Amino acid sequence: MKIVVCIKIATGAAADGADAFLRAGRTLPSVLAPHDAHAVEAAIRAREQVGGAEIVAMAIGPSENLGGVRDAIAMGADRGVLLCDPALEGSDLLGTSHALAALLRREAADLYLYCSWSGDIDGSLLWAMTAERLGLPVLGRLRALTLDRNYLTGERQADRGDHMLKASLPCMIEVTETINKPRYVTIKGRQAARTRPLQLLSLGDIGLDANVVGATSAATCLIAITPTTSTREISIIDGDADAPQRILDFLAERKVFA
Amino acid sequence: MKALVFIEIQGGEPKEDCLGLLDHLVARGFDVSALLCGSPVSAAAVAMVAGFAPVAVYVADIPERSAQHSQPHAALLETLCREQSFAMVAFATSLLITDIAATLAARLEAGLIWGLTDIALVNGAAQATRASHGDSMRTTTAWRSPVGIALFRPRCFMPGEPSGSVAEVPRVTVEAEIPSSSIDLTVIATEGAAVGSLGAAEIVVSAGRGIGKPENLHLVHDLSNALGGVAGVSLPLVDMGWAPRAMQVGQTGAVISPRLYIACGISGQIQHKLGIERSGLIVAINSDRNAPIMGFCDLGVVGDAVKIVPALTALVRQRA
Repeated sequence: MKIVVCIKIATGAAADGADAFLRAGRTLPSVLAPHDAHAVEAAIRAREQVGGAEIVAMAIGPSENLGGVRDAIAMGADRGVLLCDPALEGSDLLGTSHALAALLRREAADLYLYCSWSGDIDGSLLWAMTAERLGLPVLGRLRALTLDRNYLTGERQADRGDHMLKASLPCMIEVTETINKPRYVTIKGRQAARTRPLQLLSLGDIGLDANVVGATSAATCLIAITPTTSTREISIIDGDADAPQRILDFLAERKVFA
Repeated sequence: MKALVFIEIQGGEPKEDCLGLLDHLVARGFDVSALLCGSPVSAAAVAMVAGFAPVAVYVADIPERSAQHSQPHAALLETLCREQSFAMVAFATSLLITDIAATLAARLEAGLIWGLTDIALVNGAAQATRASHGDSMRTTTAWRSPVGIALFRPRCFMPGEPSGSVAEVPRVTVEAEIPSSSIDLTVIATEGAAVGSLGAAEIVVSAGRGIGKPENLHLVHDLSNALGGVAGVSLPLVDMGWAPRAMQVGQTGAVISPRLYIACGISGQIQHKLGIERSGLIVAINSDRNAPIMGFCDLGVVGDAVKIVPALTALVRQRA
């Protein structure tokens, strides 16, 4: 059994990914992002459920992302792969999904796992696009997962009610941040990580034509960005000992108790 | 520009935000058709859609077992797009739609832009507006592929009064090979998905992850009781099993517009924001000054909700 866990997919982002800039800036590129830790944890627990599997941590982005891949290995992944190529810069979702599909195809895993940042749906979109390119079923937004030898079951919240899902392997799944509490990286884990393989690949290595990725082939483009103005007049105060009284005064002033 | 709006059906009826999107695109000057999928689609649903004056209403029978699966829908949409040469396919975002739109984009190599709040025709080409950078920026974007896919925010547009002459809108049955999904899916009804009391409440006090542990949830119940309101929670607390689904405030729970909303330990991710942004006053108590909610509240208090909320409750009670 082989499980691929995807972390840190950062291509510099075209028009459709303007939010990704913010996200990339929010965490240091050299460490594992919190949502990625949930994906690695889910992979490790899935391995425990089937009594053994190889876990490969994969990422796309600049070489600084090697730090995140190392963290994933220190948590328990067996090896790491980073696709790093300047031609990826400015890819939109379509281009990124081409690169991700080519990268995942080389591994021919039984399970592909990913945890998206909960603030947006771009991760879900990328994962579903990639699944379509690989011809694999995709189960999105799982908050619970059980892996068996030949199939998996999962659970998610739907617009009305909950969904209980079951699919045969190979399969792609996206989990949410509430699926688990990631384990801490231990010093022993870090030491073990040094001896495990870490591979740096270019587009040429995965046999992908650079013309399907990057800013020039993006199917979406950016025309303008302007700051939005809030319709609310925002006051920010410190939550010190006076804060409760100040909140009460604010509510009274705005006639909440009238 | 020839556009197609996908009308999702929920509980036998077209979803309101899909009708709103159709209405909006017609008003914006697109040549809009609508697609309804169901098992089967009722005549009443078709008439309701036709009332918003699309060029045509396409109707496809999709077996009940495929109703919640993206693959059959994407296959159908691909066939229709190729046959009718639509330049734009527009969706109102939902769990199912996210997968359908992404699958269709990969099949058609069509550019996909999500989180849209508006769209317009500029010299015959579509330009869309989306909120980006945690909603602090407004981004204008466009498509460069022959087909563009536009994914609008949920509940972005609500329909106006239907004005079209229903009888004049042609109804076209779509014939396409519909693959079945390899995924087994069972829908489990959850209690209280309708969320009666939250929707009608004038004051709502909600807890998020910042409340620390399930034992602290009484803090928001106490404050909401003192204020004569109703208590809610954010999505992660429901996912973690700390609170029932009926208490969830946000895009996938209760979308509310109380006179006062107090968010305790809630960071304000977009799905939560969409559920509360039409509230009167918003007070946020959060330990992170940079949390998104500090950008769309009236009063932001940077501190520990576990300490501040009970102290505020005591003051409110003293006042009464």
